[in-house]
Amino acid sequence: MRSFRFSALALPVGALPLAAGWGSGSYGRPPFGVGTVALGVHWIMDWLVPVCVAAVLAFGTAGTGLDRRIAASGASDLRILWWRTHWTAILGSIVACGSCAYSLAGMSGEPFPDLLAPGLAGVLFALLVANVVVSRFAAGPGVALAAATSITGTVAIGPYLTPFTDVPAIDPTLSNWMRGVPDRGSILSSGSIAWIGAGVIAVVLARMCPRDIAWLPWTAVEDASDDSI
Amino acid sequence: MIRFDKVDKSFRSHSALREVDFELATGIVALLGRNGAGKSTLLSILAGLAAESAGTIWLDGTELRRSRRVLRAATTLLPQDLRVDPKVTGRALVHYLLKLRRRPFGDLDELFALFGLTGVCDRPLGSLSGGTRQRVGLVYVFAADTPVLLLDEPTQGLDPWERLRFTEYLARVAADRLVVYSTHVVADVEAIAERVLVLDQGGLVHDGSPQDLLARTPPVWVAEGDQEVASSLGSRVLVTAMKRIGDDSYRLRWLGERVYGHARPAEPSLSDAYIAVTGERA
Repeated sequence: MRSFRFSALALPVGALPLAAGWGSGSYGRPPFGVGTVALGVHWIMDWLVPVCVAAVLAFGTAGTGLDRRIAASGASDLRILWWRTHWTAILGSIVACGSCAYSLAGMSGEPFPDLLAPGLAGVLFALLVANVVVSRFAAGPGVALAAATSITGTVAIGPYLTPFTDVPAIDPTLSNWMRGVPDRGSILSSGSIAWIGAGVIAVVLARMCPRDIAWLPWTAVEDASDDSI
Repeated sequence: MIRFDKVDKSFRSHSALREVDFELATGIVALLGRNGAGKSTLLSILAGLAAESAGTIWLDGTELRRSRRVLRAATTLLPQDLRVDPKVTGRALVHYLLKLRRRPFGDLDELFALFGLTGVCDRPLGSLSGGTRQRVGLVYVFAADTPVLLLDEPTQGLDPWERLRFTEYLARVAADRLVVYSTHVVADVEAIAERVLVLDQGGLVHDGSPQDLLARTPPVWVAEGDQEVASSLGSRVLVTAMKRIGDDSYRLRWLGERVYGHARPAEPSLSDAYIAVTGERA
């Protein structure tokens, strides 16, 4: 079933000037020994890519797909069905993240795994957020877009903007650089594990509470909307 | 099979269903009511898609708790305005829906043929008329073959021949399952329903056979008159039909008292009975 709002793909276009600027080293003040291009490509992979994925998936999948009244009667739960119904968009996001990391690594000289690992972690977190926003709360496209990008943006960007606290960041390398330390961090960080773990817990809680979709308010309102009640 | 015990449904401050009580076994049950009477809400609850605000629901003697998975597995709902992907073919849609619900495919070609869809079931749904898309929905419902079928205005958009095919098939399958369908077409009810539920403002105002509903009809009167007579009657009694039969000449049909001297009694119809039980609300 076709189930994706393809106009959502236009959303990342708005981020292209920012990506081009960062990628060309026009912004940022890295610590001594770190190039502006290296800093820029980490920004792209750690901030822009996850936020763009959250925007595309949340806006693209909100309120689309099979008639909910039919889908809700399926053997699979709607919230699980989201993953199946939108697997092409999800896979596309992951492939886009990988190819983005590959091309940026080639351009900047940064190690490919150093860009791929935090990028993938951010994308995975963005997917989990989009799933909860769209399939648990059934938000409309605009609200889903705002909610998913806000949450993902807070997690993807926030830790780097608060360098004097211990908020776990997905990319320890960028976290060091933002604090003026030129050292590289580990590829798999405790921040990645913590945030992805929180996302998984949110998805599981969204599935379990309430346990039956009949009790979700959106289902009742939507199903009865054709009859004014 | 399904029992409702004082079921209420509220949306914020609005009450959609009020203390609805009934017990449904196999057979065809027509659900009548005006727009906003609560028919779709009732069907949503029966389909396990919406939860009641108060009251108890029983399925096959077991009280339903929080989970409605069992109810959803036992029922198939055909919504009034089935939203479909216009690029998908009817056959692909039915296959997908049955797969989604883990139902066997059965002999789909026979059903497509029965509903006159053999030549069009492989075309995109967006290229088909509303009535044809509705028939694709009916094929899905009958192919799902669950013990309970819930049809929300299934004959909408069907021409008389299609409607005939539908009612014939419905009568056949209802022998061993429960079919609940909401409709505004009283002629359908007369033709096939064994039982009629009438909802009005969220309350159940009739539960019985079409004959029981007819028996509740007050005296029906018919008379001819000019515009002045028509206006006068309209303000004094419940007029159920008015037909223009000539220049400034009308035939009127109303319920209640013989308020016009030239009136003669008439046999009540199910439409008269329905209007009588649902009152005089504008």
